[in-house]
Amino acid sequence: MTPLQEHKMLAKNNHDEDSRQSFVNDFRVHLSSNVFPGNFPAYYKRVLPQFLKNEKREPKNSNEIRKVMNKDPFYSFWSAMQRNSQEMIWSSVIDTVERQLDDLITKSKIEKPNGSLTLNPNLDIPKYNTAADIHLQPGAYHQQQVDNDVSAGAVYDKGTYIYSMGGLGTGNNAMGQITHGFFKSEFPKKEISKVLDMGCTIGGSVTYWAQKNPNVEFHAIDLGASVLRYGHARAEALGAEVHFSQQNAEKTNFDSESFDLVMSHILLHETSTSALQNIFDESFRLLKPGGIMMHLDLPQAHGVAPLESFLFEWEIYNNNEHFYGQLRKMDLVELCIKAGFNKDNIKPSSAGNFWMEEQTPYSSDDFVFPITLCIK
Amino acid sequence: MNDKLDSKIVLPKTAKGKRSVFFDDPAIDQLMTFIMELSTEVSVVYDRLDTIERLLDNQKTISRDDIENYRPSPDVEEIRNKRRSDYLRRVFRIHTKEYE
Repeated sequence: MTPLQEHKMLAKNNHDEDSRQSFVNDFRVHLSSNVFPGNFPAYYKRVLPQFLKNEKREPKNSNEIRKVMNKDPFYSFWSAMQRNSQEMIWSSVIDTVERQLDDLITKSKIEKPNGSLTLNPNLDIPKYNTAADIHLQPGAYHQQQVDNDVSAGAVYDKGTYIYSMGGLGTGNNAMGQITHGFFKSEFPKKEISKVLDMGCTIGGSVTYWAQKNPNVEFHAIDLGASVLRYGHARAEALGAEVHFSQQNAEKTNFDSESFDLVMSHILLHETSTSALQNIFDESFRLLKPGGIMMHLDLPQAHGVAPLESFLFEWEIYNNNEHFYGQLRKMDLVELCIKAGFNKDNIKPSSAGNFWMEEQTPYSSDDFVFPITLCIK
Repeated sequence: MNDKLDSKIVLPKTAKGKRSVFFDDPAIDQLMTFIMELSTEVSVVYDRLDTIERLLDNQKTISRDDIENYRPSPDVEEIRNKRRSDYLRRVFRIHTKEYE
């Protein structure tokens, strides 16, 4: 495994932790390259013929496929291994962070930062964040085990890199690289002076943007104090100026019409139906006339074949991505119109690895993320 | 190997939410966890042994600190990646796409 780019806040592995994390990475590579593809022949050679025999018709949707595939031994073994590999990501990094948490908390206190950190201990954490630990990260984004906790951020930084099998890039910022490359190509002449990143976690994306655009004022919000503390210190360590604050993207305290660009990176699928509309409404409120809303998220189900849909939806049921199931079926253009955007200024788009500056082990894969793009 | 704990804080180790069960008998799910965690630890021990051997190639005695401070060069990491990949194929050989 190519190591993550070093920075002051990155928890240091001991010898065995280094080896353990590499193994989890390699296990996931093994699963995705050598095991996962076997689900297709398992379906076409065994599960589908049995379904056709019993029902005298093809399965209508992913739910029907789920019922029969759940009983298939190949699929069950792959699922059990995939689920365990997800748990092992976190177990392989939690010890590393736990052992040096005091030190990380000390390092996170920055005397004269270029950016800033504003926390709100009274912020209500919505149920869609607390009902289950998203991605199976124990304690999720919002855990507070100790005063000035940074553990959720420290665990997230190392864990998401293993989750992506290096696909997030050694700076853990692939999503930011993608939106940045896409935005600069789509709006080459757009002048921006103030930008908001919603649901920033440790600020991987926004920090990349800030490094590329040092004269622009960047704000980043998240629900979790721990990820924000870590993200603030991480951005400072990387020489980026970002203003982090603990806020809910559904309703922020920023002035109306104060931003040129409001964006998010794989935030939407971790919210809820009502939150999604609120986030689009709030994005509209915050944008100056002519400002741009750009939310990158996971693929939707429209036009996707039932088997592919079913396999995509694995993470909904087995990786605590519960809202993603609903998001896949929603009409996001309709939500943008309700938020106030003119229909002619809503441009559903997509972007993928093509826009990244950096080559990763998965650069050649043709995976694209849909982008909800609107101009106010 | 046994780091002194710098911190007394204990972080949560399990995720909130229902744990998926993939087999009719949940004991098999539990066994899968044991097998995968054991596979991990065997690989970790192998790397540690490899580290000791590589250190002993160049010096007559080694300390625990030598082991802890050792990090594989890109060349060694490539050899280890290949070894892990072969190891995974051996241990989990009857469950790959080729068997479908």
